[in-house]
Amino acid sequence: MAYVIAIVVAVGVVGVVMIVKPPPVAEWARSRSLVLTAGNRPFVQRYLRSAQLLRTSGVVVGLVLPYAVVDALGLRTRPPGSLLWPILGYVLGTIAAEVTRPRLDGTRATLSPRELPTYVSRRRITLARVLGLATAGVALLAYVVEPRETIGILTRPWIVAVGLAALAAPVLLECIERWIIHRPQPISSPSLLAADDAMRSQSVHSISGAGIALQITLLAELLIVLASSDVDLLRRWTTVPAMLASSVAPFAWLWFANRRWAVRRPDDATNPGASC
Amino acid sequence: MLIDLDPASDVPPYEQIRIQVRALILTGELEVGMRLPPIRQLAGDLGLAAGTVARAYQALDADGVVQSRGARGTTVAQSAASIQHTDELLDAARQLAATAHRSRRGLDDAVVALRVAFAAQGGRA
Repeated sequence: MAYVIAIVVAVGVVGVVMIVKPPPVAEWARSRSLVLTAGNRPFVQRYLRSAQLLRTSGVVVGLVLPYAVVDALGLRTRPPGSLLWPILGYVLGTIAAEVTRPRLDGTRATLSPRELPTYVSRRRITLARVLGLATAGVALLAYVVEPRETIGILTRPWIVAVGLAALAAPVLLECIERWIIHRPQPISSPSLLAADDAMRSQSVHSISGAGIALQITLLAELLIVLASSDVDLLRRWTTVPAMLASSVAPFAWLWFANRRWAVRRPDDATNPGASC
Repeated sequence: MLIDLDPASDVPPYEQIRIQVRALILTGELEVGMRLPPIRQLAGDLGLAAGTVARAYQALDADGVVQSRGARGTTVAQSAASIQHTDELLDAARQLAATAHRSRRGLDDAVVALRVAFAAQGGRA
């Protein structure tokens, strides 16, 4: 039954994506202060199409695969981590879009160092790290507070796993973001450099947005543990945040992954944008 | 701020990088304190071996144009005016060396002549 529901949900997601096409190139470029030229437009167009397709495919596989595995193993339970697997699929889709992006050909290079805060705001980098530490702290609290037996899957080993994931995920995702911006960038014109920077920034935003959503999801799982504990004080103060965190995660994902950001190199006259 | 590599040129790639970085400082595009890209980044972008870019950076460091600070990266150490003054001194030194060579005098004689000239200007010899 769960398998069928997952397929229906996946088909629904595909339908929505078919309706909601990739953002128009001009609009996407404008929101990133990118000047489109005859030279860079085809690269941007192709990237937006493939990124949309690969990320969505990742989400769909992430929705279906865990249910398929649970079904194949004959287990009578739902797979752990509701949003975890689609987020993982989305991250893998983003990496695939970046890897399959045609490499620019040229014998020119920029003399500006490529650094992460040029491609995504410092506030967001800090937010991801702080969320990781906060979630690990809540995991420690949840470990100390004995979870009720009735919660089933939220056992102590599971809490330890969530805590470790909360610590490891920001580190791993930041490594992926740094890998994206440090990939070779041979170019033949300044307009291609600007387009390449904008595409890298989009990929970094997608990964970072998914990472923040992942942290909120893990936090929600742990808050549910605290909300179901025998300690009255914890139950009173964690029930609403747990519900909030669960419902906010998908919106945070969309919001953070699609923020506008104009890449400004250190030698540019203007300062980086201030969006998070 | 871009750097161009001409694969067909007779000038070796490391020398092309060195010349262009100096030129960018002289035109004022690279200012004192600005960081140059890490060796791996520039080598990857230009499709060169890391050693080639490292050699260019070492040559610039030896010229006093940039300063390499290990993990903190390589930064521009000289301004356009400073490079121009250094170049003027270098030209004058080359003329002194050529004159000494023509009159079959050695380095010690050239240094003595330089000290005398320096003292005559009121400078510290």
